[in-house]
Amino acid sequence: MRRLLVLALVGAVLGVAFLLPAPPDPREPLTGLIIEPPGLASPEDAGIWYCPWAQSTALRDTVFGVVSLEEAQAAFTFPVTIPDEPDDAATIEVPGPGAANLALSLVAQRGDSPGFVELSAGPGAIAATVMGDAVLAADSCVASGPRTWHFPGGSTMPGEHLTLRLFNPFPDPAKVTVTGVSDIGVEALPELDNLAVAARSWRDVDFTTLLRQRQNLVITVSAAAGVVVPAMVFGTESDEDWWPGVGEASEWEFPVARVQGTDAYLVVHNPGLGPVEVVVDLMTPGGPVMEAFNASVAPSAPVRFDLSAYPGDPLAARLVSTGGPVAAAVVAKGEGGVAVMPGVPAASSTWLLPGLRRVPLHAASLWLLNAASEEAVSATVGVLGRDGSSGQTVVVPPGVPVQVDVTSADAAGILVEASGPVTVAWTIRGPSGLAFSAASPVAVDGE
Amino acid sequence: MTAQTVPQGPETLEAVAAVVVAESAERLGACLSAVGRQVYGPAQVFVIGGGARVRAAAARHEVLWRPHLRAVVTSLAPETVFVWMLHDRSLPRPDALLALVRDGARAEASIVGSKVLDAADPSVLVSVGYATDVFDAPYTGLQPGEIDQQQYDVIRDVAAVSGASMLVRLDLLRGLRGLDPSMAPMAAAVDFCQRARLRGARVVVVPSSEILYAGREVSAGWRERAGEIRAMQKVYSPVTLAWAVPLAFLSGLAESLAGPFLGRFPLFGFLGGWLWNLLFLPSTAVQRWSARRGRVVGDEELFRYQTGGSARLRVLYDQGLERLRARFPEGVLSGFGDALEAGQQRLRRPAVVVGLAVVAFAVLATRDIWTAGLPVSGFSLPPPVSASDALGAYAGGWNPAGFGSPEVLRPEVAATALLQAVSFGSRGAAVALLIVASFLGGAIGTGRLLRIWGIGPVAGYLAGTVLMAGPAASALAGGGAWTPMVALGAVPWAALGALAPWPARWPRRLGRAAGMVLAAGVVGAYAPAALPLPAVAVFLWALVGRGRRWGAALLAPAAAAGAALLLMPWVLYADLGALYSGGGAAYWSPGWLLAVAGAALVLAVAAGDPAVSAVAGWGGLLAAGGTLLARSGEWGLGEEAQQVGLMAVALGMAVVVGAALEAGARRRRIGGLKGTAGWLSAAAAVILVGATASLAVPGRAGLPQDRYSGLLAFATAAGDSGSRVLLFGPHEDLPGSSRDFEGLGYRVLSPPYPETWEAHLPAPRLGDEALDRLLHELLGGKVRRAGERLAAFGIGWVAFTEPSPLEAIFGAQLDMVPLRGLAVPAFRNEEPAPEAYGPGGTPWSREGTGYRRPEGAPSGPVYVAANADYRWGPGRWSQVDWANQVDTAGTAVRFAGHSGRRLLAVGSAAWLTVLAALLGVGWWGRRRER
Repeated sequence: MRRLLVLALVGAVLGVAFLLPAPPDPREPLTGLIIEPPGLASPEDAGIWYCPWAQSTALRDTVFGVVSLEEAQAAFTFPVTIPDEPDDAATIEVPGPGAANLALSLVAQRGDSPGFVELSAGPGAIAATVMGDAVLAADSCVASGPRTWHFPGGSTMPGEHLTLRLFNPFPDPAKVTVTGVSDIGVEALPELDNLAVAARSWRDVDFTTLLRQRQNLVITVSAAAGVVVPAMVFGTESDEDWWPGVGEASEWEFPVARVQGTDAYLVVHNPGLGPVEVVVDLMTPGGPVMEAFNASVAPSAPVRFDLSAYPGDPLAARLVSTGGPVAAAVVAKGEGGVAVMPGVPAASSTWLLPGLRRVPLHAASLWLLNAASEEAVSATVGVLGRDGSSGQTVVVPPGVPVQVDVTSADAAGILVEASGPVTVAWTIRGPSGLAFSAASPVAVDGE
Repeated sequence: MTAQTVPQGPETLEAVAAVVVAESAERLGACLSAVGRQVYGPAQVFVIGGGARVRAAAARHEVLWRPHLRAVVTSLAPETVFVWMLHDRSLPRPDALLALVRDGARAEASIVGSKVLDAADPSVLVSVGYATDVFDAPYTGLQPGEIDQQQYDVIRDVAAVSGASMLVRLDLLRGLRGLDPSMAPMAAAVDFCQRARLRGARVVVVPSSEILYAGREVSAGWRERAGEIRAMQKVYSPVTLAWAVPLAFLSGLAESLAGPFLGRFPLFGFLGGWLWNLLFLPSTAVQRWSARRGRVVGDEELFRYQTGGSARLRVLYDQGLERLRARFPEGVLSGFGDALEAGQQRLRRPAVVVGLAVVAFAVLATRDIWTAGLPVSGFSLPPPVSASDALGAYAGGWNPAGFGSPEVLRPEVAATALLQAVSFGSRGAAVALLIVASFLGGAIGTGRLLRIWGIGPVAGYLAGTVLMAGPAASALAGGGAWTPMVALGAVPWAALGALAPWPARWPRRLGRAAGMVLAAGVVGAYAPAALPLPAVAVFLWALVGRGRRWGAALLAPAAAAGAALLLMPWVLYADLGALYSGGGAAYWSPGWLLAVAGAALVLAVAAGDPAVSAVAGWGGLLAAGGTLLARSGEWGLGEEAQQVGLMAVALGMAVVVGAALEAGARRRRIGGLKGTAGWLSAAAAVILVGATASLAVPGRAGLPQDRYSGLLAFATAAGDSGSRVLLFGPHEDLPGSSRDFEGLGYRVLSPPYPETWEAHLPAPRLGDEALDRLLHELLGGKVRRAGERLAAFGIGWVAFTEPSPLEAIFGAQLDMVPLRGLAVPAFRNEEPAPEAYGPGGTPWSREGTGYRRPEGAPSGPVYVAANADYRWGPGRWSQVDWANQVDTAGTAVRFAGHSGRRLLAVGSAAWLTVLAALLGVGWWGRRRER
């Protein structure tokens, strides 16, 4: 009896033990979190901007324009490729809202000096303007970007040069693949497959010798490992311009496509697998010209729209593609100047134009385009300087590009705040050359 | 007889057929002539074996030739009663056969053998029957070159007779199917005689029958060894085989190692023998079934004519002694020889053999730990390098886990440090000693515990192996912590102290009480959550046991209370709730062996006598309760509660195994169905004992494979930078405990791996919260210079135990360099990140839990990346964010310590000293009684 009781007790305890349910599985680590793979994604309030094209020599210098809506410190870092040499660095204070400039020659004079700028507060934006003997190249530095960059607008006809800059600001070596398409189709570039770019370094690819006599060359850069910030430089004998690459979008706006005394063309590249239909509306001072161009753009066969068919300056444009996203840029050439500007993919009500300032003997202007709305939009153009901002209000009618000249001697940058979404760009023109640059949008809640 | 008798003329014995096993035609002739001169000649003479020349020689002598013995048996005359088997090297005296038949019949023997003399010198004895050792190696008992002076001339039973002259009853020969043709001659003879004895046949030697033998009768070649192993496998019971086969292997190995020193090289024979047996295992199994099928006696009969120990090792020993005697004068070695002889007497007892086997098992099961070191994985972490630093940290010092804390360290840190101090400061030696001692202690303790209720030492020691290496112990060690194994080894001693009969005299009572408290203290130090376990076990015995119970149920909790005093100051500050609920949820999934244990339990309870049944029931209750505790995650209990449960299961299973083996051993006494149940329960217990081999094979005492010994070595490859590693991974994959970041575990540690004092992270403080905030900032994409931010935490490296999406965040940092080619994803912080630095960023080096200024470095404010505490000094202390800054002119900064806790720790040490002294009193008292 006793034995039975003991066995029964043991059995009962074991029964309870085996009836106990298993605890729930532990939560899968990082569930529900979206962790972006490494790329160029600048933190919202403390931006890091990458300026892949900057030079300081005896004949040219680069001026970095910094704007910020909050008081911030801008820390510049220019990597030095000599082992164990410390990077060149500089720091400037930016009032909020305000702007400031830094000349590269004050930090380093060693030719090419791509770098990056860390803003301690924001929103802010950086631009780099290279100016000197027969060069005026300007564009916004890059805070964010896609994994695949497109550079429409290149050309290697006689008298032209085209150079791709691959800048790796990170401590991790990168590998990229560079491909190209042109008017003759897909270009064979086996030597640009899995191109290594050392950590905190850069390398240049000269297409002038690699792909001669290409009129309509579109270069695409994809990162296989690591992250690079590419930039393209296109020049003639009298001027050159640089521009960052773009991603793909179904709509592109060009607040300025052509200025007086220049010929311009719009280049569209279809990176997809099937043809897309592209419609281009032109914006003139007299109003929009709807569907000024429409074409079917085949994959890997860039199309050039010659804007000289439409007289009248200035000229803005809007491109819409159906059937797939495209990459697009505008190229303007005139006597003594060449400018390239990729399109602006989205409108915003607030824009920053760092580096736009009055330059002696040069005309600096900003361009506003209201292409999305049927109502006029009023925009406050604020001049940002070391002492804060001051502004004027302009009305931007729909479909008409509005030019605002920069006349203030204190301007080191511009802030545009509009009542509705607009796209903004800026130009500088003068003896040094011609430069187009898109402005930097500021994300506003609700947009 | 030593003189040749003159043959009176042949007289035919109708009943005998002679069979000569021939290899050589030359020798055959002489043998056949000797057979032909027998006073009483055999009716038929056959020759078997050999080639064409042997066959021709047989024809010349007008005797029949057959290929093998089976063919002879079918050719025998119907009236044949005996078969006389000889070798061709045998030269029987004319009256040899007569003596065999006459004296063999008088002794009613079924197998009769002759006295064998050396053909080269007939006065020299070769053999007078054989004993064997337990491994079936033949043993003559004669000195080399011993002269025949009729000193062995008496008919006696022996284990085996030589195949040189063996008279066998034909019916027995048929029943046993003759000698095994795959075996060498001597092994085949031993095997045949054993199989005969298993059938109840008598094997005797008749010294009046004399054979002259040309050449060596017994060879030490691999065929003989192989035959001996096969002979063992054929006749022994499974229980005997379970220990005899491993011991045979070890004995052969020992002979192989010792032999070369005496000019012998048995290694190849040893290896060849075992390999041959592996190949012939299937046929051995078939023959075993045939051999044991008709048995009428058990292994005890086989043991009757066996010598203790190993015959081969004895031969080696004798040889060695001879050589020593030749070197040293008479008298020097006689005392040594006497002591060894006494030791050999002890060795003949099965308990001693099994005890030695347990020692060998413990050494084997832990060999990796004492040769290569502790595997670093989970909570299996080595102790700190400096024992004094560990003791200082325990006694009110700084807890260095994570970003540090004044929280009290676990008592295992201090206990191991004490042992390390007496192990010449070697932490490896201390851990190895602890683990091996726990294995041995657990096994021996279980044996002693079970002996209280009359369970024999063999069953007890085997039960002890199940305690330390059975399925529950495997699960316990497999969880990745070595300290509970030490505690497990002490549990039976803590229970034994309360349950064993209380000594009569005060000195022994004091010693017993001190021993109990010390054993419970070891349990509590190495598995604090298990401190109540011995008391609970004793209480359960009080519920279901027999005899003295309730007094023990009072003693055990008192011992636990006394042991708690040894755990000061930890026991005063421990968060018991967190102790039992922390870590992963308790949920042990036992394997099929628990069912085997259950079967053993039921059968032992049913079959055993009241004492054995009660013990089995107690073990079952322990195991059941332990299983319940180990699966109670649903009730909020955690990892340490599961460990306690597993320890209870291990103890319970061991007790059940001991009871089951004892029930099996007593089956003959009990008889009937109960006897059968006893045998079955023993069989189930043998399965559980056999399962312990799975823990022994890897040699890591059941601990998981090493993971971290070299994994983070990259962080110290260029020397100790004084920086920490931030390690991410699943919680169960990280060393020690970890914090949680969105379901992913992480912790900081000092490379190359954490030590025991870093195993358990203290409650989060300012630094931990700050790091958590930083990690969330990183996740939000708000930081691009993580290196600079991590440097403030002294973090110079970030690593992942496995690929993780979180790597993307660190890969996007401007000052974190990914390291390629490593076993795990890792990033190096480009910013200097020492845990402590002085003016100019000069890193201060770690010294215990403090930091020291490097030679020549300027003095001044020191930043210490540890959780802020005003007791850091000496110098003016201030808090910098979450960390410390100490403005000191000295060369070192450290945590000043908690004086109260230091006092408590000293008190514990004093109490330990008192207990040790009382233990000594008890030992003295025991000696006096003897």
